[in-house]
Amino acid sequence: MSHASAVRRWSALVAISASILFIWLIILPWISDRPAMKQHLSELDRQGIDGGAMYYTELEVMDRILDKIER
Amino acid sequence: MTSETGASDATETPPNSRFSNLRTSEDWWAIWCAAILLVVSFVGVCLNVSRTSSVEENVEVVTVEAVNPFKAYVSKPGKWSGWHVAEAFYKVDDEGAVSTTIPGVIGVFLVIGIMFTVAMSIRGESAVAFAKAFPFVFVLATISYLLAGQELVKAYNLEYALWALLIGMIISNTIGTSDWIKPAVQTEFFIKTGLVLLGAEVLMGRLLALGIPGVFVAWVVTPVVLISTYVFGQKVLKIPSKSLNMVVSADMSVCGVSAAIATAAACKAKKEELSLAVGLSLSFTVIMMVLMPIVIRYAGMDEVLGGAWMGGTIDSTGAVAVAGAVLGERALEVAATVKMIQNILIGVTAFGVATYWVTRVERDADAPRPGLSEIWIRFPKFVLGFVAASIVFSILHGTLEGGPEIVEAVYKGSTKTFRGWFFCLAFVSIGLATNFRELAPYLKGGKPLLLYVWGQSLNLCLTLAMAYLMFKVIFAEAIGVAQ
Repeated sequence: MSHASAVRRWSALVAISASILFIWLIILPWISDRPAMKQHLSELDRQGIDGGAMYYTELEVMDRILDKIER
Repeated sequence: MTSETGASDATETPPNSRFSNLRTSEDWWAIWCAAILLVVSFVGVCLNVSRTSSVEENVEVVTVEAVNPFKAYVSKPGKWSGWHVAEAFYKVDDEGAVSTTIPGVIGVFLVIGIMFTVAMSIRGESAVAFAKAFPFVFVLATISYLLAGQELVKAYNLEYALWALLIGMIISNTIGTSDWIKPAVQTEFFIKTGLVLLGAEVLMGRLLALGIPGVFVAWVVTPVVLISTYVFGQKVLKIPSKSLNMVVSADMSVCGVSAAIATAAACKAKKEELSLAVGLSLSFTVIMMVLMPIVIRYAGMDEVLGGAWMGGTIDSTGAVAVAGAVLGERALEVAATVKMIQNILIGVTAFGVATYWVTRVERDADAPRPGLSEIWIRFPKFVLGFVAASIVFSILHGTLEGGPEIVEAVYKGSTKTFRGWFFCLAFVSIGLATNFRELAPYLKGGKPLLLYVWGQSLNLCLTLAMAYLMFKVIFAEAIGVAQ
């Protein structure tokens, strides 16, 4: 890899990393802080819902639902 | 799943079935590693079970409490909000109580690092090279969890798998994946170990949670859609890769990323095919999660029918719960339970796909039907570990005194978290081995997208029809939901 190519590749990595930091630390918190979104997020939190759950065992709310069904 | 080669390779070089495979094959080692974690966790929980009995209305009631002693030493970065990234590792609640995930993350790093280093050594591969590279891959997986832990990202079902893929691909497509990192890029080993661990969470007893209506919505429509979509992809769209066709069909009809992982491993799909299927699934999941509650409200559909419809059609489990909650409490309950029943289909799907691949797809068209011994040689053994874990833990869950408490303490306290890390490490590995240009041929002609849209449209129609029939006509009175 030539020096110029290495500089270009590292620059790309730094630029992408900076973009990710900007989105995650500026844009997303700003959206999360909008009143309607804030309310939606706290409601999900209150109900024990993890929107990122891949399987039902990752959902806290399932315990309550299964308890109710079993009763 | 194959990293560099296609599924057809297996027909050219049948895997070795000798006894030495138990010591050297990746499939068997995935089973050994997962079995060690499950047994250690189970024994730890059994040593920490307490039973108390009380008398309520002249009936003796035994209460079982099970604690997993490893819980504090097995965790992942948690949720964080605002600019407080540190909350992922260290949190102080309103009452001043401190919780930290740092010992748990270090614990997972040490356990997986040591276990896999030993496994690589016994398998005859370079253990030192793996041990040197593993910390780097683990750090990338931790960063992926951090990105997925942002509260908004979490709420919109943008799972860690997506960020793990992205982080890996950013590295491989900018500075490149150095040779010294490659020994820890163990995509298949990580995926197979995670899948065997997932088996312990596939509890068959929960199949009847919603009674017969739930079984019909989740277990009749799903296989019909899966098979129809696969056939449509082969006969109409003529998708050249059968494994890509199968993985997209399974993630769309069963339950998103987890089904894609299981099916891709069972039919030896290429890493790019799994990446594409995961990307498609997550994109449509976000759209459906937002739009379906709006459509259901607009149509004046009741919560039970709407919940069953969403539970049977939105790919991802977390997204189903979010969409259900938007609609209401009853919708949430029905949607999440239908999805849970569908989740349990993963075991059957992986087993069925592996058997179909071994007996039909990998078989030479002119060759006679393979005998049992040949099927055994070709069969991906980790699928047997996955099914065995499901059967054993379903039996323990259903028959042991305090079975539900003990089994839940096993997976909630440790193995579920390990399973997540294994999948995360696998997706980082896929990203590290993927060049953006390698994805281009799969996108040509938009066939995977067409396949997904066609299959999901069929899924939406059939699930709605079946949910209406079950919840509003046949069992309407029995479940007390008649209008």
